Amino acid sequence: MGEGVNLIFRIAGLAIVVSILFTFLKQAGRDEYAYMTLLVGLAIGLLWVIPVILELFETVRSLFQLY
Amino acid sequence: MQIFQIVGLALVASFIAVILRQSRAPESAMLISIVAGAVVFLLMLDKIGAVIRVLEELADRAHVNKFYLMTIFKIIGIAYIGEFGAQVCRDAGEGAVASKVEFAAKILIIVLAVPIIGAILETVIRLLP
Repeated sequence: MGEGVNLIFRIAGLAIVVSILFTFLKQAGRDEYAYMTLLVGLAIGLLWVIPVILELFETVRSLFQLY
Repeated sequence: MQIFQIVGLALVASFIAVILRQSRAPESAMLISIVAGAVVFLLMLDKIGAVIRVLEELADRAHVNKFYLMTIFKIIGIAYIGEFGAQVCRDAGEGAVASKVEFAAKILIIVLAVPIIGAILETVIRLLP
């Protein structure tokens, strides 16, 4: 329960930091770096989320004997 | 009670998802809805396991063939995961992908149900004079 909630807040924090960085870099005129930070933020978000999805699928597989 | 935890988690997650949809990184809102869905299911895990054990026990006592019960559980699993994927895709705005996922889930369920339909037809035919 706890780690689910703090994962949600971690992703929210990451997204807010990425959007602030994006706006900041856009103001500074470095558009390509801005889009790169978006991609990096997305990659990190996926890195955190995919194990949770994998755990969900493994649990459903073992629970419903879906071999 | 656990329902309060789940509703609280769902409200917080959807509140944050709404905020992030407006921000520069709307795709993270989809990540959050996936995580929220997964956490709610993982919270309900032991309850579902208990229900399944009770059903299996009842089936054994009623001498129901284990194969039928296993097929039913498989169908429930496929339906749940198909629904989960389709709903997440629909939330992300991809209605077409969501309907394809549901289409695939239906086909898989029909494939699983065919042996049972065959068994029913056999028993019906045997009952006829």
